[in-house]
Amino acid sequence: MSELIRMNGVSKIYNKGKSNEVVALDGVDFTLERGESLAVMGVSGSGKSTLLNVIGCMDNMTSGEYYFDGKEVHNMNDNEIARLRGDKIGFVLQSYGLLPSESVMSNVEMPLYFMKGSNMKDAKKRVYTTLESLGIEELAKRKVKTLSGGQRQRVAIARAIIKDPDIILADEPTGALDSETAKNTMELFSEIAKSGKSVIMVTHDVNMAKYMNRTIYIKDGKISNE
Amino acid sequence: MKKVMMYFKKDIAVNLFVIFELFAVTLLIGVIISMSTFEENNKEAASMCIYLGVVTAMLLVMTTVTDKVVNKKKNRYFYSVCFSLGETKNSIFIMNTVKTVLITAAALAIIWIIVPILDPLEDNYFIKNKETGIATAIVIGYTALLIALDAVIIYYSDMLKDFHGGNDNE
Repeated sequence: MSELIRMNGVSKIYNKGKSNEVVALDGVDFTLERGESLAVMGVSGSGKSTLLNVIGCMDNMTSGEYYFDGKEVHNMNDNEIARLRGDKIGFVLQSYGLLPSESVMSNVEMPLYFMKGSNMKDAKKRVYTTLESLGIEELAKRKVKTLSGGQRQRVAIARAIIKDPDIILADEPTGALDSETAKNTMELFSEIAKSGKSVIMVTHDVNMAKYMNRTIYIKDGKISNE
Repeated sequence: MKKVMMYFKKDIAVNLFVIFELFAVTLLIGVIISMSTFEENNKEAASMCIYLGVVTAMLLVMTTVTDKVVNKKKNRYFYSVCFSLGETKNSIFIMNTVKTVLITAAALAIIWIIVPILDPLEDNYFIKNKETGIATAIVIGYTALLIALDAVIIYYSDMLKDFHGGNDNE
């Protein structure tokens, strides 16, 4: 396996220098191999989601070094970071992050609009292939707002994997699901990881973390143990 | 092209409906006033029509402002989703600005075209007219304010990380 992510002394400070300064990440060092799956655990406010946002290039770090597939993310400009986020990283959120009034087809197709060199002529075929791989092709024309939580989460996963990213980042992906649906969703993440993609999942649930190869714990913005 | 359509159909359709609605109401009221005062040929009727046009344009822009404030969660959620999928802040700002400018153009069309159509005195109350000019300035001022507001929200706030509002936004 080759190294996909390396972070050296990454810090994220909100409202730096002000009276309401918050140190969300405090000198985080960690690496993730290509194809590895990782659970990030910790109490609320420990810095889990901030770490996921920094890894996913949704948020800039305050200091430190971040390498993605050998590229220096800490030296990239906003457009280069957006390109990395669009081409290499897939997000799955607890609240799904879908557009409820749009069809499943439109939602899953969306990432292709933002991908460099994406061929939109084959977009529909690609969506169907992705939906088929998750067993939800019959939902293609349904509006997202008519779907159950479990179905929405599968659509969110389809949207994350359609662009064939290097890594899937999931923030409490089973938080809004019943236990049976959560189990099915986690099995899906396991399969994605086995297919060679890296997965990082933030969770409060020890049972869900067991589906990942490795677990790290965050406390007060620092990785406390593995 | 699909990407552009995706941005535009989200709220332009709503705004076009508002434009149409306001246009229809203005036209109706204007026609009623014009017909009822046509024989008198009085200047007050013409002024009334112009004020109606001005009010319409103002309402239109204010509707947009209200939409941005009231539907803040919905709008921000949509842009957060686009951002997470790889859209740049610059593109989001440009798309938003183009939409705002188009809405302004519709408001100005109401001022510049509809008001003269409603002019019962046929004395060419086009842009030279003082009231129309003032209304134009106000609408453009509002537009500038909206664009500045968008810039602050997109570049200097945390809105693009806010995924709340996705399940209750429609």
